[in-house]
Amino acid sequence: MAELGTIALWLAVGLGVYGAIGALGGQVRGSPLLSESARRAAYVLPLVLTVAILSLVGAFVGRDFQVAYVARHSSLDMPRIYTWVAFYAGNEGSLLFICLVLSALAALALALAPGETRRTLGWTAAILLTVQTFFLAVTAVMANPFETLPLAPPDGEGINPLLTHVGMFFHPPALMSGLVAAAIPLAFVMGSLIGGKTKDEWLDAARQWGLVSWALLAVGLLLGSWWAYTILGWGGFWFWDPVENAALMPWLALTAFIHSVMVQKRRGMFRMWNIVLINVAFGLALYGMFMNRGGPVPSVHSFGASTLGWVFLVFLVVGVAVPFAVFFCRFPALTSSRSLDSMLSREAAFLVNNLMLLGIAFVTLWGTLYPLLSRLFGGQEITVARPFYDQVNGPLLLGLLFVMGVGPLLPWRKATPQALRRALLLPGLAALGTVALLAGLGMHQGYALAGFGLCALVSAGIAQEWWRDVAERQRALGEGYLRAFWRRTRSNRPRYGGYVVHLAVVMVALGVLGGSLFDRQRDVLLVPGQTAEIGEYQIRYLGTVEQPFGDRTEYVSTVVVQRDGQPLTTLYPWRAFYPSQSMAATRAAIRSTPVEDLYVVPSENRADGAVVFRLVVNPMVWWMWTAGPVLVLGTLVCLWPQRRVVAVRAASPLTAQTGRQSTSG
Amino acid sequence: MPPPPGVFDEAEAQSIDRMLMCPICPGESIDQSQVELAKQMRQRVREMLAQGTTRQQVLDFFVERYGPTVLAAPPKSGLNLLAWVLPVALVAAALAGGFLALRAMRRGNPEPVLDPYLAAVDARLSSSNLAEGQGRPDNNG
Repeated sequence: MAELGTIALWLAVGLGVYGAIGALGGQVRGSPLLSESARRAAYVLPLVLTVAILSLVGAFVGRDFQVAYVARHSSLDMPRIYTWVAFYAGNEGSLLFICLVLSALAALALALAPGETRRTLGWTAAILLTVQTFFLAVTAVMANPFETLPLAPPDGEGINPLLTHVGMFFHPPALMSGLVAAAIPLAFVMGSLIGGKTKDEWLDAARQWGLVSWALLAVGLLLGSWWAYTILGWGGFWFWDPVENAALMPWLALTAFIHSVMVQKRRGMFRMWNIVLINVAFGLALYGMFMNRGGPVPSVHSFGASTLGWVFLVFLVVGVAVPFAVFFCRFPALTSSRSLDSMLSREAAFLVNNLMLLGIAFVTLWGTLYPLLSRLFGGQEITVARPFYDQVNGPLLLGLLFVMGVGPLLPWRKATPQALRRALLLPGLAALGTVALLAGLGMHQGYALAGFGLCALVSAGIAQEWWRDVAERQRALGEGYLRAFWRRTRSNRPRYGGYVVHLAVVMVALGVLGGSLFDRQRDVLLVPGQTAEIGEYQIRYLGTVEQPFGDRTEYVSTVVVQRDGQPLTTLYPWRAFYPSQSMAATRAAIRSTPVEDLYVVPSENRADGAVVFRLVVNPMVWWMWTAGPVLVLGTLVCLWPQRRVVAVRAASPLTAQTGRQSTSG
Repeated sequence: MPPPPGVFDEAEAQSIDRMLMCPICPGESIDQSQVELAKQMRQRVREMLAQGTTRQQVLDFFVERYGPTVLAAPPKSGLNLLAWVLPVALVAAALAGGFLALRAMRRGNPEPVLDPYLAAVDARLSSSNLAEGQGRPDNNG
């Protein structure tokens, strides 16, 4: 198995090098034959890498401990199902996975490239294949997962217990794919620029692939939070860990990009700014991979020290410097065709949204880097963790919610006072009403009032706009409401898909507000038969059963939950000890409802059967996990191919009167 | 975990827990971490609070023991004030810069140069006797 993998991996390296050089040569010398050949190399790469991945998975499933990487990340005792995904438990396999995903997405992107990008597709292919070659070469030379041991050990070292969780099937692939997919919009933008196409040629391709990368990162981030929530055993879902941050930052930059690019699409503005944004997003994605694959900062994601850090750092510098160099070389040719009509317009709101998003990304980057800077220049060791981000990013996130509420209500170009009143009146009243209601009910935290008020603003704004659009169509065409809704939504997918995603963001915001401002928490020591209270819940601990497995001993506790004396449910939180790793892992038992989560996790098992439980009541966290599917739905609506509207120059009635040529396309 | 003598505010204790890092676990506060040391530190926080110690004194006590890295965020004093002020100042500067850039973009174009056709449409719309709410300027963005 390992030999097959090695052959496939080196074949892939060869194909990558050939493809990159061929694409470059084909473009420079204008040889369509060479270009076509290089493109076919890009199409073959995912197939070859699939063979490599399959042989690695085969080695894991077949317990082939002769392969050093398999021996280091699995064991005979580990749950069988996880042998299928254990291959990305370490650096080597993760890199191979990144190679496969990038090659598959790149092949798809090249095959589906829209007509405007065809002339410069050689440059795009060369860029994508160069990035692929980098990852392939690093994998083959420095982190080869197929290296074999002279003698097969009888058993492997086992997988990190934290990784044997359902999340393992989804979170790492989603995040790695999202990070690496950021290379595709960049390759389209850079390909066009290098090829001298300085208008909007790259726009559709970059927007679509930017959305793909953005959605994958969003899903990965949500899944990671959910995983942390169920397994880390402290009752929270996000703590600004350096590697969490590293995935959040490119997501923020991409969020700015997919918004700002719409301004370019609709109004022909912000072209240079969008190029800067995608460069920044790609740079941050590389930074994310650097942090994940050998970063210098302690994190729960540390997969063991590795020498890969320096290689990634060099690639990061090149990956930021080259795109910016190209940008500056093309600078004079890039001016946008139109300028701003009014500060009160959607264009202006988009720019503010962009600056806020980049601001949050910068604060996050600053927080991650400050300990390093402090050590280098001040000679002082300092920690920057959750309280810093909560205090600095908290207000910025609220500001972002505000822009998200107001921006979509502003018309393009210019808002007249009447239009403004008409758009903002109801959502504004909804926000104020919500604040007044909550304050009347006794809520007094400023953050919470502002947050919920802004959530109401966003939701009411979306409901109002959608309703008005549907009602307009219903009136104009006499269609039924459902039909009008369906047709109207289909007619402008980016807009309505965006609304759906905004609703998902509101749901996440509700979860974050509830879970971080209104959580109640207790640590209690209970002997069997004893009861503890938290909120309205009575938690009665019945006892713990010890279950020995090959690699671990599980201590499954039974707790009966009552609310105000009424029996509610029985929960089975457990804690496992892994002697070979001398590590414990917990699994919280969570009763989740839209109102609140009751979270029970054993944090210490005593010999006499007594258990220390952490009990947490987390209001509204349910909404955050439910937001995931909503977000995916919204993205699909945005991405679903739409029949292209071809602009046709028509003589306007005025052209005839004034005798002047219309200037609008 | 026997309850320490005296009375203290558990919410205050938890908020202090979240401001202290566990010295031996990467990136986790003592509120999060389940290692023995974190448990002892949580216990110590509660004991000190029960004896009437203030939040700042509790933090100082741990800084003296484990060094400044035990604090989850840099203190807002001295050179470390930079950690807090610089990002806020930069974000404010960026927003101000964005505002100026937008104004400059508009100044360069004081009277929106509209296509004559669009201008006529605008004029018709603003003087239209269409029912209020029918002539929305934007419904396709």
